[in-house]
Amino acid sequence: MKEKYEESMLYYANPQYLLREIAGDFILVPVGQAAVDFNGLAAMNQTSVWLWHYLQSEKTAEDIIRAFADEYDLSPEQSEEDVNDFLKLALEHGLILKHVKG
Amino acid sequence: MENRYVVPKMVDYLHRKAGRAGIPLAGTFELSPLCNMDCRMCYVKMTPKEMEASGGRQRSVDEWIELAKTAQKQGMLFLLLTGGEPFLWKDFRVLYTELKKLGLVITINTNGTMIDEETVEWLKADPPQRLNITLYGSSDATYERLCRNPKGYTQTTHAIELLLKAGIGVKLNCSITPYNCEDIPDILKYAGEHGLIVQANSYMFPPLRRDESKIGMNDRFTPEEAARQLADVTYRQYGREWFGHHIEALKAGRGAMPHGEEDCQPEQGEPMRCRAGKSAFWVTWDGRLLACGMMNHPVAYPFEEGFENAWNKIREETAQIRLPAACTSCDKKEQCSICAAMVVTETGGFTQKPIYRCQMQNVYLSACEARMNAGENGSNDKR
Repeated sequence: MKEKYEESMLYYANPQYLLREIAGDFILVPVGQAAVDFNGLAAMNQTSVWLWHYLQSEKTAEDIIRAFADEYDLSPEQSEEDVNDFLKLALEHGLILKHVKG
Repeated sequence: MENRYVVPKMVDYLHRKAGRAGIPLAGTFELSPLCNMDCRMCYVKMTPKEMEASGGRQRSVDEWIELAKTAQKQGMLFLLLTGGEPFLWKDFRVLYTELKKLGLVITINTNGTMIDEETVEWLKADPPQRLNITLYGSSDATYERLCRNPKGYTQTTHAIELLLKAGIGVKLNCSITPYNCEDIPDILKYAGEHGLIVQANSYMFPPLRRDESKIGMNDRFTPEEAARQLADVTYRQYGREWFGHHIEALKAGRGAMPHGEEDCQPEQGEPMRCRAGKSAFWVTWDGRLLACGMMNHPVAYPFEEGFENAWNKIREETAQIRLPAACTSCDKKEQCSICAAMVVTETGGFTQKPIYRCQMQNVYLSACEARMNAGENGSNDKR
């Protein structure tokens, strides 16, 4: 079964990564503890960059899916699938963090 | 055991893209010529008295921060902090903290001798991508002979072990000289036991940065011995199987003598074949912008004329540099890893071929074959 986002959670971009644009490419540079946990660089595509900017403040998964669908003119189902994939990968690598609402 | 340094693909990709777009992707800030050691072959080290006599002025922390901000806006992502010994520079921590806020990937070149428990605790809070630590020998006696520091080995290995324990990245650099070549097997053994990559080199640039009269001179091996030492360390580092392929590649004209630092990676088909002045730059302690830290020219003055103007000047002048005609037509040119800095430091200009490197190249293949034949009993004693 496909993994799904958690409805009770708020998601946000890990402030210990700084986004840099270099020659048209987008790169996340770790600082602080993130630089201990991940000694490298993360390349971002255009949609990830949009999500990164959007997640500079805490959002529910429903917020993200709705806003992403609006931005890229997607069906709710397609947006949910894409956001799920992004969150799964970004959470796994600690680029996006989450905490329980409230 | 193979502990070879491989440039990450993303770094290589970004450099190629930056080189085409004229972006200063990788910088080096050489904060000071002062050092707590006194290595015989150093290209930059000065005493406080020599520094004063040179007429140069060390830049302030505010000047470096401002320069970094401007370079960062132009696209600088990678920054190497070096010296002298950067941990000796009085405002190092203030500078480092500010530079980290700019989203730079920072590497520090250090001899490691000043890094203690407290330094590691401080670094651990926001570590650099890596510290490049030069391991000059495998005993305090070698450190005394080569670096005039009788406690150097104890201090350096203590620092390395503290850093590793804290999870901070370390790469070892190793300068192979007549004063430490007997120690190379033990240095490699130490690296292997600690899971560290070693970047070793037996070629020492003449120190023109420190003294312009030293064209073609250094306290170093004969070229033949430098080739033999390079063959030896390559055999020991990469193992017999890889070394066999290396010899075959050299015979077929495909292989090359192993060469230098990250920003020295060759980019084929261009007048200067490395990243210097294309996507990489170096700022000296006294405020000169150079394409490469080994060459005094081309030069620009970023603190006076602004970083952007200075970088553009360096790019334009670097693009005009041509290697000697004798090198361009040489049938060994793909194998010798020659670079503009070698030509200018060995000959004083760009028109003559650098004989020391030619002699090193001429015997490198036979040195490799002899090393292969010697097998596990091969010695690296100097001859």
